Amino acid sequence: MPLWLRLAFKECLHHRSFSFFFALNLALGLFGLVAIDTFKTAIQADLSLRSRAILTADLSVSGIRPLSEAEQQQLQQTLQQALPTGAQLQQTTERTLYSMVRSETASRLVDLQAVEDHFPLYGELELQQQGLVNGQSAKRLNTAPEVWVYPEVLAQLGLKLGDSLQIGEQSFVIADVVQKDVGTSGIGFRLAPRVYLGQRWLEATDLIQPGSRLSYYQLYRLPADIAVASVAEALREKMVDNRDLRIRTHTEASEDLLRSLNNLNDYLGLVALVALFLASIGATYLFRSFLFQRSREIAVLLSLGLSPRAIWALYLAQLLILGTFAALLALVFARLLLPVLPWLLGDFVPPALDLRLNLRLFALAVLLGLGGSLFFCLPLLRYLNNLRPAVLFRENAQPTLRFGWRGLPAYLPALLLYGGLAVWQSRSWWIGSLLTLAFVLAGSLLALGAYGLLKACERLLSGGGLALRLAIRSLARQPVASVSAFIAIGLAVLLLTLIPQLRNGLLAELDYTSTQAPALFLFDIQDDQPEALKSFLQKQQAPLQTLYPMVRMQLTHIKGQKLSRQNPADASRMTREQRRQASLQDRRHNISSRQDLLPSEQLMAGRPFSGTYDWAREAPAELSLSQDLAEELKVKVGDRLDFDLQGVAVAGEVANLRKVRWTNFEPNFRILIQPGVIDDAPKTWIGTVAALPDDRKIALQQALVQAFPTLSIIDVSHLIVQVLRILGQIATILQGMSLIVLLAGFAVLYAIASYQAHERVPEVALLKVLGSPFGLIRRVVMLEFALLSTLAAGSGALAGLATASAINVWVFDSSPWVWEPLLPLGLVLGCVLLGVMVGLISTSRVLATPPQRLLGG
Amino acid sequence: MSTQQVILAARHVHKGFVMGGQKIEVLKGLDLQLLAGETLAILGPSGSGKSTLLGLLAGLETPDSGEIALRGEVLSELDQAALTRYRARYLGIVFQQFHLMRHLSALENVMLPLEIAGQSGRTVRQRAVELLEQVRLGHRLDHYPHQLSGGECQRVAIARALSPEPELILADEPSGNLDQETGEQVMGALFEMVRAQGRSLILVTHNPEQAMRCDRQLHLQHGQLV
Repeated sequence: MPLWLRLAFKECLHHRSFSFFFALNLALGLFGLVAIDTFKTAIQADLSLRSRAILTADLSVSGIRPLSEAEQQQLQQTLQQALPTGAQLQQTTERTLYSMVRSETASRLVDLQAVEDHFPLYGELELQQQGLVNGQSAKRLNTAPEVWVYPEVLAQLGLKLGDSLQIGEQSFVIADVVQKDVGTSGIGFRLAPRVYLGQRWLEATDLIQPGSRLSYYQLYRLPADIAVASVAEALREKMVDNRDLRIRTHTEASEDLLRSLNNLNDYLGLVALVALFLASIGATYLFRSFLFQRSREIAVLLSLGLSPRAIWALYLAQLLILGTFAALLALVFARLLLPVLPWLLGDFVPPALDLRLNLRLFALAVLLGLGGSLFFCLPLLRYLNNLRPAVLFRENAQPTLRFGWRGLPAYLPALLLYGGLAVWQSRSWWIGSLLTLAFVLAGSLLALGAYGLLKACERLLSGGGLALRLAIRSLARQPVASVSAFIAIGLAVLLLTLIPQLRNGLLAELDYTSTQAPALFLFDIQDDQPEALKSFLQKQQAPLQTLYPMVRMQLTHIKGQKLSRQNPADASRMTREQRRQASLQDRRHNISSRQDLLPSEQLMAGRPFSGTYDWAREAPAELSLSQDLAEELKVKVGDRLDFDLQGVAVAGEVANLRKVRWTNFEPNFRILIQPGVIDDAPKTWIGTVAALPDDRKIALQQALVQAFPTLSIIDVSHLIVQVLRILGQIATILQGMSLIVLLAGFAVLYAIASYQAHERVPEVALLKVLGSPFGLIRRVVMLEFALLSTLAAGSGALAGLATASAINVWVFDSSPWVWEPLLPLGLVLGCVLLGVMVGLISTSRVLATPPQRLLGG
Repeated sequence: MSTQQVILAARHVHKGFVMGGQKIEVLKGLDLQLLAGETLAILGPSGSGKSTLLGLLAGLETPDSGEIALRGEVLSELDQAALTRYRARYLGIVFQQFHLMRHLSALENVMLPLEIAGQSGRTVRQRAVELLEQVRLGHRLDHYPHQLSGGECQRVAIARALSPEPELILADEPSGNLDQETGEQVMGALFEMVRAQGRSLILVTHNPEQAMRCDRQLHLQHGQLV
C-alpha cells in the first residue's frame, strides 16, 4: 500500500471525532436522496414485475372510438407478420366508461369496465365468492346481467351481494365483490370505484350515446419469446396516420404510472438536495478546520521530503475514504428509516414494496458521497501550495494554512455539480436551473445578511455587558464560521417556513373555494338533454348554475407544422418540459365555446371573440387559450392551430390569452372556440348545480340519475375533501424531508461549534486565568449561540415568508393570503433553544477543562 | 580536514523580507563551507537570521541572491520535485519543537522518512528499531508523542532525522524546549549518533557549551557568519 494511502487511513482513524462528524454530516445530507431513490427503485421494480398484470396484456391498442373494419384488418395483418408462423395470439376487447349507478336509495359515479370472457389475459382478480379469477376461469358476466363491484360501491349505495344495481336502463345482480383487482397499480387515488360487467350487457344499459366518453381497448397476449416493443414499433409504423389510436406495451403502461409518482419524487428529491447542499457546507467547514489544524504536520511532512503531490494524494484519499464511509452511513440510516416511508406516503405507494437496498443504490450513495466531499473540499487543497514549512524553524510561529475569499471561484464546479443534480432530480432544465439560482441567491443574501447583521450587532451592542460584548465579538470576528452556520440554519428554516405556508395558502384557497363551489358537477349531458335538464332542475328548485358545450378535438398542426405521433420509447429520455409538450401535442383537448369570460378568468392578451362565427368568410375560427397552455404550446395571439374534430378539419387562430384561476371548481377550459363553430358538431354538455344542503344534494343526485341515466355526476365537496387529503399528505412528506434539512443544518452548527470550541481553547483558558468565573464563560457561549440562532432562524423565517408570499402572488395568483405567525415564531424559538443546547454540548469539554491543562497544551 | 570533500557551500547569500512595507535584510552576503563529517555550531542572538538560514539550507526557502550548493548541486536551480528528493535523500532535520506526527507512534515516526524515500519492508522497521534503541527508546516503540516526555520526543526526532542516513543534519536548538539535564542527554545522544555514523551537522544554538562540542563555531552577526 503506498505511503500516502496508509497515512490517509491513519489520519482517518487517529482523528476519529473529525472523521465521524464529517461522515455523519454528509450522511445526513445523503440520506434523503438515498431514501427517495430506494423508494423510486422499489416502485419501478414492483411495476415492472407486475406490468403485464397492470395492462392485463402484452400490448394494447386503444382509442375513444371503435376501430374501423379496415383498421382491424390492418392490425391483424401487422401482428400476424410480426409473429412466427403458427404462433398463438390471444386477444380480447374491453370498453371503459365513467357512469352513474344507483340503488333504490343512492347513486354514485363508477368506473365501468366491460370485459369479455378471456379477461384478463395476464394476472388475476381475487373475488370474495369465486376466489382467484384469470383469463381461463369460467365467468357469467357475459351470459347473465351480473356485475362484480368494489367493496365501497356496496358500502356507499347500501347494497349487499345478490342485490340489484341499476346501470343506465339495465338492472344487474351483484354477483361478487372484488377483493384484489387486476389492472391497477395501487398508486394514487381513484376518482371512482370499479364495476365489472360483460361486454354484451353494456349495450343493454343504453349508456352508449353520441359523444359518450367511452374508451375502447384491443388487448393482445403475444407468445412468450416475442419482443413486444418491436411488435409495437411495427404497429406504430403501419398506423402512423391513426394518431387518435394509442399503442402501448405493458412496460410503457407501467412507465406512465411511474411518471405520475415521479413528480412527487422529484420534488422530494429537490428538498433532499438542499439537505445535501447544507451537509456539504458543513463538510467543507469541517475539512477546512481539519486542514488548518493539520498545517504544522503537513509542513513537517514537506520538510521530511514528502512531495506536495503525495500530500494532495493523502488528503484526496482521506476524502474518498470519508465520502465512502458517509455513503455507508446514509445507507444504514435509509435501511433503518425506510420502513416508515410507505406509512407516510399512504395512498401513493403500492402495498408490499420491497425496500431493500441494492448495489445500484450503494453505487449512487458512494458517488454522491464522493461528489459531495470532493467537489466541496478539493478546492481547499489548493491552499496547501501557500504553506511555508520554513516557519517550522521559527520559535514563536507555526506554519498555518491561510484560506481566503479569492478561492471562491474554485467552488464553481461544486455549484455546477448541484445544478446538474437539481436538473437530474427534477428532470427539468428549467426547474433545476431555477432551484440552483434560487439557492445561490438565497445563500448569497443570507451570507450578506449575516455579515451585515453581525457587524451591526457589534456596533449596536458594544455598550452591553461583558458577556454580550465577548459573544458578539467572537461571532463578528470569525466571519467564515458564523456566516457558514448562519446560512445552514437560515436555509433550513426558510424551507420549513415556506412549505407549510404554501400548503396553508393552498388549503385556504380550497377552503374559500369550497364555500362557493358548486354542489354537483354534471357531465356526459347529451346534446338533446340540456332543455329537459334545465326544466327538471327548475322543478327541483336547484337550477343549473352553468352549462357549456364540450367537444374533444385532436391538435394536428401548430403554426402550420404537422404534429407527428410521439414514440413512447423516447419518453423516458425526455425532460419534464419535453414530455409535457409531447403529451400536450398528443392529447385530445376538451374544448368549449362561449362568448364571455367567467369571473375566474382575466383577459391577458388579444381581444374578446368578435361574435358568432361567420361560415361564409371561411376564415379560421377564433380561439381563446389559457395562458399556461399558450406557453406550453409556444403560441401567441395570431398564431394558427389546426384540429381534427371527429374526422373534420377545424382551423383556428388564437384571438386572446386568458389567465384562469383553476382552483375555483368551475368548468374552466384551456381552449375556448368562437361561438357558432361547434354548434352542429356531435358534442356533450357540462354543467354545475349551485351549493345545496347535504340531504337535498343526495336526493337531487338520485332523482337526476333516475331521470337521466346517461348523466355522470361528481359530488364536488367529496372531490375537495379528497384533494385536501392528498395535499395534506404531500405537505407532510415534504415537511418530513425539510426536517432532515433542519437536522443537517444543526449538524453543521454542531460541527462548526465543536471545532470553534477547539480552536478557542487558549482564549477560554486565558479568560479563566484572568479570573473570569465559569458562569461568565458559559454565558458568553450561550449568548453567542442564542444570538447566532436567533439572527439566522429569524432571517430564514422572514425569507421563507417573503418567498411564500411572492409565490402566492406570482405563481398561484391566490387572493386569500394566510398569515400564520405562530409557526415561524415557534421555529425561531425552537432553533434558539436547540442552538444554545448545541453550543453548550459542543463546548462543554473545553469549558470544563482546567486552565493549566489548556495552556500547557 | 582540507583533504575532505566540501559537502555544503553557501556563497554570497542574501535574503530579506518585506515587513510593514519595509524591506528587512536578514542575510547579507553570507558565505559558508561545511566538510563531510564536520560538525558546525552557529550561534547568534534571537532575530539574527538563524531560522532564515536553516530554511535556506533545507531548501524550504530560496535566497534573493547568491547560491547554496549541496554536494555540488545548486539548490536554487532545482525544481520543486528535485528539492523534495534532495530533502528526503540528503537532509535530516531536528526541530526545536520536535514536530513529531501526532497520530504516528515513535516507531512509525522514525520509519516515515525511509518510507518517504520509497523504502519498505522489514529492513525499514529494523533500522527504525535500531535507531530508537540507540537513543534508548527501545521500550517506547509503540508510544504516541502525547505519551512521551519532551526529552523522549526529541530523541525520537533525532532518530527520525538520522533514519534515512542523510549526509547533513540540520539541528535547530534541539534542547531549547528541554530542561538542562534532559537537554544534555538529548545532545549527547545526537552527537554520539552523528559521530558514530560520520554525518555532517549544523547545530544552531544559544548554548556556548553545546556549541563547543562541535568541530567549529561560527557567529551569525549582521547577516554574516563570523
